[in-house]
Amino acid sequence: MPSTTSSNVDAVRNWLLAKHPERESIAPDEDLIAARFVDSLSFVEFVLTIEEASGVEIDREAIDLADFRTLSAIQKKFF
Amino acid sequence: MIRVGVDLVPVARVQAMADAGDSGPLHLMLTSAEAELSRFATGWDLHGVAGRIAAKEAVFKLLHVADRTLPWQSIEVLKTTGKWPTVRLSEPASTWAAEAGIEAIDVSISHEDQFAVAVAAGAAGFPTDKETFHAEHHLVQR
Repeated sequence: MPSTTSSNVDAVRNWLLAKHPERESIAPDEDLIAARFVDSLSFVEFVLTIEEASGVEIDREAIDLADFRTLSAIQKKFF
Repeated sequence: MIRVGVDLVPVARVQAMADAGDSGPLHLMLTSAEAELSRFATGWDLHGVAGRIAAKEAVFKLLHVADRTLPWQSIEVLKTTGKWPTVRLSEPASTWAAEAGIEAIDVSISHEDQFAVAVAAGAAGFPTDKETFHAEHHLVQR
């Protein structure tokens, strides 16, 4: 079973912030794609980061972007 | 209707992905055939990888698929015997192309010191209703 603690989604948040040092924080409901935290090139790394943090293997053929748009959605789906 | 897609990839981003090693994303973004074409004896051909990734993104853009992520393994950018880049689609990209009436896609790739750019073009047999509206709207503007 994946962990339900917020510390794991914090690992995803920290990965995003490390890629964007101009930002200090990310709101739970901020659209990560619209805000360009993630683009198509970094999406694969993004998925790998979520997999590593959550322990959940993500089926890349069945990705629903809505599950990845915000940290809240990621926590709800994968943690 | 002609469909086009274009994409620009910084070589530095490919370098960062290559630095991640075998557990990094490149092996998920390139098929085994593409990876074979993208390696020197000493390691990744970074400009070649950047160009190939740009071409995949350009092809994905011309397919006009909403709310889906790029299916890296189903859009392959290979080489003809003449060394020109060529595109091979598998599921799901092949279905998306068929739904758009696209029978063939051509790509062109260029790279310079820090960037690679690619353009993809294909002929779509029929536009969607929404795209027809936008095209007509643009044509009647004065």
